[in-house]
Amino acid sequence: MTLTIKSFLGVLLMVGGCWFYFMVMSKIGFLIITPIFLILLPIYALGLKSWWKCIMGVVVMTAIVYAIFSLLGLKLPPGILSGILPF
Amino acid sequence: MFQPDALIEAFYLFFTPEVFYWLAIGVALGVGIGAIPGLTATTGVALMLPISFALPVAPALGLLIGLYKGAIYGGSISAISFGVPGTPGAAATVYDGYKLTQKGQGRKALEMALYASVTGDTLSDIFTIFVAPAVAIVALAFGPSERFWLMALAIILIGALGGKHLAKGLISAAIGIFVATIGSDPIGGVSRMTFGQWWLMDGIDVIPLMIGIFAMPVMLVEAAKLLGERGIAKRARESISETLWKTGQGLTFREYRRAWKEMAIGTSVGTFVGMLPGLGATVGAFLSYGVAKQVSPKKGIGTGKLEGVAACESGNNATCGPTLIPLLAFGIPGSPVAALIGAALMLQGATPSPRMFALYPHIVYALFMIMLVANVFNLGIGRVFARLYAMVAQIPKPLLIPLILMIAVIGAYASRGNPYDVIVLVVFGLLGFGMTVIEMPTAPLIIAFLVTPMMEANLRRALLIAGGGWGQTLFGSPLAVGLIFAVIILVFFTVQYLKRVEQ
Repeated sequence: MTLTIKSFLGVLLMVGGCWFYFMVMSKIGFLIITPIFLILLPIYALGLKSWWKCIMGVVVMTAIVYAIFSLLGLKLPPGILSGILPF
Repeated sequence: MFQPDALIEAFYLFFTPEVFYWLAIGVALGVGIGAIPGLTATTGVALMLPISFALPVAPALGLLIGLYKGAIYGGSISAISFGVPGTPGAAATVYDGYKLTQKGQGRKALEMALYASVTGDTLSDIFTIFVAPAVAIVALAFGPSERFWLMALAIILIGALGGKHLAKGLISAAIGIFVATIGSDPIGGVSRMTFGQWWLMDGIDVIPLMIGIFAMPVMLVEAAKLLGERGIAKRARESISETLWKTGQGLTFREYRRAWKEMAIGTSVGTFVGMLPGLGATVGAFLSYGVAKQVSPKKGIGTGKLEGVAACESGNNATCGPTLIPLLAFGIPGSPVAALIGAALMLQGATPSPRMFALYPHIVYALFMIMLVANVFNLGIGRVFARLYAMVAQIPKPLLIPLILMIAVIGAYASRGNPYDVIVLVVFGLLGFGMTVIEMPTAPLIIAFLVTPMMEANLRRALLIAGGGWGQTLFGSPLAVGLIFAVIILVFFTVQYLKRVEQ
């Protein structure tokens, strides 16, 4: 495949975004940072047009992923919400 | 070789509610992943690896096998509905499937794809169940030295067949061997290739590596494509053809029966292709399509015929079962998904090896049952929800990419709760992306990574047996020498073949 400078920088931004997401997650918690990550990346980096689709998808997916991982006993960082969450 | 006690134990493992609902979740997820263009069976199984790690062995296998089979079928849904293959394995289905949709027979095509997939899959699973134990008996006759050469043969074969270029495939395998040697030496216990980093002393964990190589680069490539094309041309939105469900009639039993010849071709070609290391569903489908077209030229396959769909779909799904034969018999995975299933078994403590049938017969028998029942789930879920999946396949890419990246990050982290695993994920994600850009296959890397520890152990054992003599170790038995010649001949013919293809 051919790679333009713009798309290469975009990929680096994605990877950097993943790392940043993880670093922030371990501080303030999965449930707070995930919706922010999943809304910022599509709209600012990838050019998604419809806001409502994004927000709906994000809220549902964050909840599903959190529920599955917690029920299986895989620990996700609770961050500042620790103590408040049921799991 | 057959062990009745193990079979009874396998029934206990298999008949639990957990196995059935994880199987259903696996198939349901898999069909969706297959239907979404850009996501493949390999990506899906890699992403579910951390979840399977948290489950007992039988539900874990149910999730992964269900997802694999579902995804291979799911690719045909978008291929037929809007002419975009959901997985590379369904690319051949577009020829006939999409033409049928344009003619207003989309529903027939979708049902043919489902029935052909399940038929091909079930028959090839039965073949696997009978052949794998027989091959495993042969594997037991091999000593450490022969096993070493067999594994070398497998790595070279996968490297050679994995991509367009022999050297690129072999470099990829070499990277895999290097990564596998990071950590402590299995016999001496000395740290190797750790660059003084204490967290590398345990070696690279398989879960972040797999997700890093198989899931992350796929999404990065999609992101690069999206960023590259934006502003130049606005992509036409794929839309479900109006005629797909309104006027289309269902498939009749007569039409299904009329395609028996194509399904037989697809099943046998797919089974054969699936067994060979380095090939996979895509080759299975295209080869079946080609053979079916040649065998019955009068049927007009390629002009929108149900028989064409039947050949491709039975061809790609028939590779699912037999691809596990080298894994179960020799402990050598022959395809990326087999490598992932091997890794899942390893995480469950049942490391695939030539003694798999002797050590863990109950797990192997439970795996066989799961394979067969997964086809039933595939049939049911595919039959009822095909239309829903055609809509799922239209999920916008900008939404999908961050979602998969998020699952990749937390999956890599949560399996062990180790932050360094995220570093491994990011590094291998970038490596995998770079490899994809220069068209270097990533499968040889992973397969070499999984095979190397076994290969090294066998080499060390053979050296101990021979008292340290390298000549005696490597060239001591006629079988070993035969395998070496096989390696040389194979590389020679691959180079010749690739040269001819290039011309």
